[in-house]
Amino acid sequence: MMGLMLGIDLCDDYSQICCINPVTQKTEVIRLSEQDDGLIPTVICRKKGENQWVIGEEAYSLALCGTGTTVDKLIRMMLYDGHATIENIRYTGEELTGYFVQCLIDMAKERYREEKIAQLVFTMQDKELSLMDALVRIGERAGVPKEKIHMASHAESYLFYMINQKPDIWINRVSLFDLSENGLHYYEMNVFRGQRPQIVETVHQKLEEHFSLDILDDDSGRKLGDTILASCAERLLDKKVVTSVFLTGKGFLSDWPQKFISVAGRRRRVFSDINLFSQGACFLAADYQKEGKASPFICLCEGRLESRISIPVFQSGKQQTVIMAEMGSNWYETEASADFILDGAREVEFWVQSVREREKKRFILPLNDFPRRPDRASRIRVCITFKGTHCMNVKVTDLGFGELFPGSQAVIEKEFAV
Amino acid sequence: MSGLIIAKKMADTPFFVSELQISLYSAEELCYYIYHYLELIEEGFVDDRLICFLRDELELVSLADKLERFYRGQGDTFQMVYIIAREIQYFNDDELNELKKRLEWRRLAGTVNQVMQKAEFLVGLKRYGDAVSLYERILDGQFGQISGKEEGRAWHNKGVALAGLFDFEQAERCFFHAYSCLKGDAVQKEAIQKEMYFLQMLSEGECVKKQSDSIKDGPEMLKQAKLLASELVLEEKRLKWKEEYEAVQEKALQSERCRQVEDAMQKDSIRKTEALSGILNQWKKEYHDMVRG
Repeated sequence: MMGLMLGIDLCDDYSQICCINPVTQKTEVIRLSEQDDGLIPTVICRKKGENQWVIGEEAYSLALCGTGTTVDKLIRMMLYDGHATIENIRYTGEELTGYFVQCLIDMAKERYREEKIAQLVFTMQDKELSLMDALVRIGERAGVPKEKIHMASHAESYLFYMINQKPDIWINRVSLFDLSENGLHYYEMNVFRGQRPQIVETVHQKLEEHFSLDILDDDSGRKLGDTILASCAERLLDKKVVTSVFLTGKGFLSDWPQKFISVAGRRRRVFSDINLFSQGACFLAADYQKEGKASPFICLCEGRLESRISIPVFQSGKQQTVIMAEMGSNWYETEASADFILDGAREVEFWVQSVREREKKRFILPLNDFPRRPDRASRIRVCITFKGTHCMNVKVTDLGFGELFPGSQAVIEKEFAV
Repeated sequence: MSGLIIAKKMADTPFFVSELQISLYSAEELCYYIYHYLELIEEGFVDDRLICFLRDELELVSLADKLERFYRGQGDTFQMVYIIAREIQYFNDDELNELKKRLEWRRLAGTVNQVMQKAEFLVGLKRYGDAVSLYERILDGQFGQISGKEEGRAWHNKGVALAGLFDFEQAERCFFHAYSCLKGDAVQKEAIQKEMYFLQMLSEGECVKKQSDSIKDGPEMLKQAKLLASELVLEEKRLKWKEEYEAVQEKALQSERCRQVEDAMQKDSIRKTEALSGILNQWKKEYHDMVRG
């Protein structure tokens, strides 16, 4: 067996875990019990007097019985460097989230009787740098190699979920409404056909019409919620060619918003999938596993680069470009490095080709601080990383020219808005 | 033209070049060495070691295969060097053509001329020890017969190398030999006379006299050399040489190296020690390279 391909949707209220079934190669939601819907409350409980951790509903039960101490809001705690003290032991948010993630992974390992993790994708509402760094550390502590741990926004997971459905479902635009305690979110996926590779773009907006899920406890509240959602659907879907509408999030667990569904379903199909993001993350994990195979799509959404970054070079008498970052790449994981020989140049030029503009932008990084040497007797290393979708960090190091001209190891670093 | 070239792979285990006492880590460095140190390249440069380096370390498999076929078929070294330069695509067309001509010249020049060129290049690189050893072998006839003119050039250059090693007496003897080899070339003879005069200025006369007594086969020759550079030269000419010598000395005092020392001496005690130690280490390395041979 090549190992498990896991997708974990981490939210402050509920989390989910999904795995590609090694036999059927289909996504499977891993549940705490056969009856539940795959939504696992993001809470953890330490059994009193034991160093044993439990998660989800069992954690609540232990707390009610007084045999354990429960901690919730783990993601927020981790994000804001919070901590919790249980039986005189101080735990950081990262440690507690780590125990929680370990429990999720153990569930998958136990279910498929497989210890090895081939790919692990965490999906979250927004890709916060500190959150992602912490999740990489957590994944590594859980025994997953760093290069096998990936991050995806909900928009990315949605996109990968959709492109793995039957094509007739997403022949035109596809909309998604996500209603949870975290808010009401709208995603719209569009395919730009006629280009090779095809560009698939997902746009996300957090809607201001958000309401607390507590109002759904009674009829009048549900009616109000339904009216709000129906008006959103009218506004967002009006005069658009939308093939399908998807619903996800705890708010859509039952089919209470009838008026909204009838608006959304006008000449369109409406689907509900409560585990959409974790499954999307799982599809993404499978995509990472196919590394090296050219994808038929360029995926554009939050967390992915909208531009191709390249460096023009002169090789074998012709001008060529070295692509350092491709459009559609995950910015958090994009890290490119290449060595060049300076042939009369005292600068490095970057070409930025955006998917939205015909003309490419040019950025120049002067190398005036590097020692002067004869032509073609300086080797430089150009490394690029990203601090966000539109923030590129460039680092150029002078490597010299072997023992003929030892390198100064001088470094020039600069950020560019791309 | 963008001004950047994609760099090729760096070797984990470099290719050591004994002539320069350095290691080469990339195909570009190898090309640079070929172009700028062509005079050091002799028959036998392309061998199993170089072919393995190209194949295993730089992953230039097709080039290595091509060279191997030439090598096994007793191919010409300079032709193989040209293949390396052409295939690595480090040079532009003009440079490649120029290199081709230089390689052709070396191929046709024959062993003695190749070695003479190498020895002169070593003097230019201040690798005086290596140069002296090579000139001794040339003058011993190890590479074949040389003409009188070439013999004169060899003695002269050996003298320059010995002067570089601060062995002024031996240098003077070599210049005397060189002078003797020149037949009727007044301009060159005068140039050597001037160099001998400069050497005498450097070695401060008295010191030479004392040391010369200990030279078994040379006191008479040194006397003659001294005569050539002083008494037999017109007073007017000697004064002119003296002025030239003083100008050179003055220029040397203004050089970057002297300035480095002066700057170091101006620093506080800790930084002065550091700077002087750095300069001394650099000089030691240079001296080591100079005397090796």
